[in-house]
Amino acid sequence: MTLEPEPELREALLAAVPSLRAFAISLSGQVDRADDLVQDTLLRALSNLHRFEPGTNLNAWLFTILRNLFHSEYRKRRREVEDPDGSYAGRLKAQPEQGSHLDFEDFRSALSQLPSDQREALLLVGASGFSYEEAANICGCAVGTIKSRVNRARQRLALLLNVDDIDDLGPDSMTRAALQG
Amino acid sequence: MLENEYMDTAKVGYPGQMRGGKGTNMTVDKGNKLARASLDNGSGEKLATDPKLDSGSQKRIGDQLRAMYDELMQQPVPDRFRDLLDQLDKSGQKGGSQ
Repeated sequence: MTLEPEPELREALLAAVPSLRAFAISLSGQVDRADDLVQDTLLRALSNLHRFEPGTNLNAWLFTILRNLFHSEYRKRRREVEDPDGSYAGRLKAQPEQGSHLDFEDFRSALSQLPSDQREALLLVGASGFSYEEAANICGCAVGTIKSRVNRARQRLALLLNVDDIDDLGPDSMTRAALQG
Repeated sequence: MLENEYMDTAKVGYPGQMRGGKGTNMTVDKGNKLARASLDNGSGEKLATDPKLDSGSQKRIGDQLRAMYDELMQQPVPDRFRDLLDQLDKSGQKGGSQ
C-alpha cells in the first residue's frame, strides 16, 4: 500500500496534535515524554493507516494508539523503577509545564495522585470530550468501568482539593478568575 | 446454565456490564469499588454515605480540569510535528510508496 498522506489527512493529523499533547502531558506529567509519545503516535498512525476505517473518529483512533503506547512504555519502566507512582508525583510537582502558568499547580498535583486508570478515564471523558462509550473503546474496557473510574476520580479530586467547602476552593484567585471568564 | 453464569457474575461483582444484566452488575460493582475507595483514602464514612459528588462540587472539579486542559491545548504546536508531517508528505510524493 502507498504511504501517501493526503493533504487533508496531514491537516487532520496536525489538527489533532494539540489535543493529543494535552492528553499526553496530563497523563504522563512530563512535556518531553509527552511529545515523544505524540510523535510515536503519529508515526504509528501513518504506518497503520490501512487499519483506520474512514468515516470513524480519527481522534479516537489516535488517542487509542497514544494510550497503548503510554501503557506499554509504562509497563516497561515499571520493571526498571520501583516506585513509578511516587516518582511521577514528584516529577509533576518539581517540573511545572514550560510556558504555562502555575495557576493549576494544585490541580495537577491532585491529578498526579490519582491511580493512572482513573486519571486516564477522567481526562478522556471530562476534558478530551469523548463519550463514555468512546472512552471505553479507547481503554478497551466496559462502559460501566469507565463510569465508575470517572466517578472515583472526581471523588478523590474533591477530597484532595477540598472542593466540598466553597470557601476553601484551593486554587488561587487567578484560577478562580480564569474559571469565571 | 446461562442463569447460573449470570448469578455467579453478579455475586463476584465482575465488571462485565457489556452484557445484558447491566443494572445488577453495576450495583454490585459500585459497592465493591466504594468499599475499596474508602479503605484507600481513609475517610470511608463520607464516601459510604455520599457515593456521588453533589453537582456543585462536580462542576467545580470539571471546570478546573477543563481550564487546565484548555491551557495545554492552546500551547503552540511544536515545530517537530509540523516538520515530521511535512517530511512524510514529501517522501510520500517522491516515492509514492514504501
